[in-house]
Amino acid sequence: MNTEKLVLVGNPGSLGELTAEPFANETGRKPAPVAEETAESWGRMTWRRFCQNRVALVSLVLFLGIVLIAILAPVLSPFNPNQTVGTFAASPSGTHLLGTDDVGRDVLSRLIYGSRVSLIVGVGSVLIYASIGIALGLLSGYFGGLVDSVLMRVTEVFMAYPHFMIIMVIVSLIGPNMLTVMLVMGFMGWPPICRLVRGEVLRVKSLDYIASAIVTGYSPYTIVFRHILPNVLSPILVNATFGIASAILMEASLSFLGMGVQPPAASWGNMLTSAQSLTILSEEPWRWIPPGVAILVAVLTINFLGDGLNDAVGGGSK
Amino acid sequence: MGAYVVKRLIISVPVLFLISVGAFLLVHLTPGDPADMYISPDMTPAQIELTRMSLGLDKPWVVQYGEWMKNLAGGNLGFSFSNRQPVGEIISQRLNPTLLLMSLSLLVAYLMAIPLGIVSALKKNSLLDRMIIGWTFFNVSFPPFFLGLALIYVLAVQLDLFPTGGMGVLGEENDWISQGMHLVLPVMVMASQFSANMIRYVRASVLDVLEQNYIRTAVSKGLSGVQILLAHVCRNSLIPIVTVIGTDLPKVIGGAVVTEQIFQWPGIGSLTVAAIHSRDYPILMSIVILSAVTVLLANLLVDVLYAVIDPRIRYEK
Repeated sequence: MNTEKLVLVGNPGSLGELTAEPFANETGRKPAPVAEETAESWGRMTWRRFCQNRVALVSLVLFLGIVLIAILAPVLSPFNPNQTVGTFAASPSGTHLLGTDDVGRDVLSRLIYGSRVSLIVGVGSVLIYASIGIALGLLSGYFGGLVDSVLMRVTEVFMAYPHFMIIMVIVSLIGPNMLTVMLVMGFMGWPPICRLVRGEVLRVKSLDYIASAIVTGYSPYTIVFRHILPNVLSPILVNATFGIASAILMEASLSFLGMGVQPPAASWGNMLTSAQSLTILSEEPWRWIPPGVAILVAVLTINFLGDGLNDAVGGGSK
Repeated sequence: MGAYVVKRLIISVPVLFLISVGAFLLVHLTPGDPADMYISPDMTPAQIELTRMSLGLDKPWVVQYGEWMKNLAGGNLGFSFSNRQPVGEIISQRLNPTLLLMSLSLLVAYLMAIPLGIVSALKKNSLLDRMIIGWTFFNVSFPPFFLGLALIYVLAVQLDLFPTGGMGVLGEENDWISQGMHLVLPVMVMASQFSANMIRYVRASVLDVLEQNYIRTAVSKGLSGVQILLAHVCRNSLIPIVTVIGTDLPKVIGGAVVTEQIFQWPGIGSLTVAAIHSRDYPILMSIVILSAVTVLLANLLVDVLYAVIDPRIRYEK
């Protein structure tokens, strides 16, 4: 149960496997004694520490609430979010709780459906760049040499481009929509996590148990995925959680500028685009305050989650 | 140190080359033809070809890249597709507003963040500390456009304290008071973003220093709190501060797109948005190169700063 919740926070499901059998191996040797003596598994320990942080727990509940809203959007929203269902720019009323926009679409329904865009782009892009970053980071850190030098130069080139601006340019040139935003953010975002994983691998690689694994004759594949990856997972998990928050912010900013999700599709970001007009800003606040607050709440809860997780896995600077 | 800087600059050359190829491919391999913007439906095929030739788009892209690099080396950034002005001139006009906005924002952010971070660490786990930390979370989580719009709504529209956008009142001679008033809101938005990171780093760094043995020594030999703070804590907490500056400086050119757009600030960010809309490739490529060079130089500057601040850090020749 608890590991499932942690998985939702943004890691591709390897936690359950890890907690079930920490050092199991194919050759049938007994697992390392360390795992048996510390009766509490990594996942359980992390969860226990996480629960001590009230802010993080409340954030987890709020985040799961947003996930639920996104899943149940068709049931929850009173109207079709993309169709004209009322008078133009009507203020909040009994039928339209948050009013309507300038073509008569229901703001509440758009707000509910917008949660889907934010979550899909946020989690999706992080899954893409975390996978690339982890794979290349393991490769670079474990094998070193030429592979490492080339990969590090490539990360330098990627990281030399200003992140938001370059993503904005690419997305708008290949055609802005939800999928391209997610993919471009995914394929441009991997260098920091690659460097993080590489550094962690270099640290772990010099430890005795890796030396003994090499002497025992495990294949590099087994060593990397069974022995190294589980031990560098904590910082990746924390990094990915914060990554989801900034990915949601970035999607919202792109859509706000008209270079992300395009109307009539609803995104929290593009719901605020029209508020650049002073009339709408000052006279129709129901059209821009709710989506703005939605982004703020979603990003804030995920950041608190990440912070709680960071403390729980022992990476906090207390 | 001089040798180190030279070495770093030489290493940057291949990185710069790859960056320029990336910038070039980026705008040339994407679907859509820039000439589309300048072709009207009633043009004959010959006229269309003429337009493409005048924009230099008829040649193979390797040749286009070569010509672009040759011009770039001579300081010629090419001409804007949309209004035929030299790109260098357009960009330099937009550079100053961005640099003004960003340097002021960084200054305000740091002047606010460094004391807050130190106080937060000295009063660890107090209510004040929690409030400061909570505030940093709000700052990093607030979408910049929402914060900007909210500030305009409250401070400019409702209370009428500040102008809603621009660098000054159009068509008037703007004195420094008027210019300053126009700066307040955009600086608030940018500074709130920059300050959060700095507060957290300073706090962590001061906490770390406070646990060191030399602080205990200083306490036991009877130095006052202020003396310890100034002589030992601040000096030794400087290194992480340089790290934060290192992550902030690269954002100086490309980091204010959204803020500039909301406040109609005539800087590089709003130029980028305009250039994207008009598919003005020469401008886009130049902005990408300019910002990438800024990032490389900022990284170098930070590495040199490390050595200046911490004499223990020495770079191999």
